[in-house]
Amino acid sequence: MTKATFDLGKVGAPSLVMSQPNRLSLLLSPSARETNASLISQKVACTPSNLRGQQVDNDQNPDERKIFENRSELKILISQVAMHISANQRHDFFKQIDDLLDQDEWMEEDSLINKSSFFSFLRFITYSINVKRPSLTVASSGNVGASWFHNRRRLSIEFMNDDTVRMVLSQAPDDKNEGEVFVYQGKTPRLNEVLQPFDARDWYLDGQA
Amino acid sequence: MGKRDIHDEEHVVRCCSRQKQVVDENGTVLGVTWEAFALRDVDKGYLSVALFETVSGDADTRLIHIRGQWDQSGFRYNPRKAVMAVCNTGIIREYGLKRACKIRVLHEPSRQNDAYSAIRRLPQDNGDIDLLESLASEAAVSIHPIASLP
Repeated sequence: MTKATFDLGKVGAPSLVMSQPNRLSLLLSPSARETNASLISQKVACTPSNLRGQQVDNDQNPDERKIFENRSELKILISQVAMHISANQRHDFFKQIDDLLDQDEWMEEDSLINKSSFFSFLRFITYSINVKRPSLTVASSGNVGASWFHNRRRLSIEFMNDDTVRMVLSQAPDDKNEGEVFVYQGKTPRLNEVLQPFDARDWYLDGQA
Repeated sequence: MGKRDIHDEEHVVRCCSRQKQVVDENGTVLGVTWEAFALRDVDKGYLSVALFETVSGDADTRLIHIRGQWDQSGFRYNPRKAVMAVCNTGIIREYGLKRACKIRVLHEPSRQNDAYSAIRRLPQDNGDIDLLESLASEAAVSIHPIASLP
């Protein structure tokens, strides 16, 4: 079992424990559990805003129902790690999920988000330090992606099951350098090591030189 | 209505949904991911695009014409969130050749859509992500939210 402890001030210090391979579990104090449960119920109640107060019609288009269920389950996952992300991050992720899974704006090429992929993404966010705000995207496979584009540098990470990622890094050509594209597929813990030759850690992490 | 190879100096327009867009905290679209150029099963082996220079005029005029052709042909897009990525044909071919892929970009107008075009001979399994990333980052020279068009 791997154990990591976070100091979170007033809520107390929960232990983040992997009780089974790749399953993220939280051992919380009673007060923290109560706060967490309240937070979950608040966030689920806020979703979806256009269905608030309405009963879901069993004859409703199943795609709409699936979109709603997908949004809800992802937000519940976020709420389960709420102690380990900032309020701004939580709010931003909720907003992006609403934006990506909007039944009124659904296009034929759109996909529901794979829950285990999103779980891998959340593990990446909670285990990394000072991650810059990612722009979330959805692959045709349903895997969630996180991207950081700045000037002519692009970094996109697609989260698959089992903490496997596919990372695409590109830098546009300029007067001094030819452009370059680098693709990596492997385990999340190797990301920093893989990005080091490109001096690219500051593309997605705050406070890097 | 005949097919022709689109010239290197011309452009094609790819419709990209919100799920393929990279957006900052203010909602500004910074670009599209390589997935916007990936083939799906429904694509039947090629990417559907539109010839930007179907009509003359400024960018808005041309994009409005393409949007009208989409409406006429029944192509469904998200008018609030989808974007039109304008891609240079010469750059598409150039990156294809760098990856040993002789991409063809063809204008294939129909009665329903006089702008209809296709990017053909892309790797069918989306295995060349380097190529797709180059298309998304370098060939896409400008991004236009459909909602911003008059």
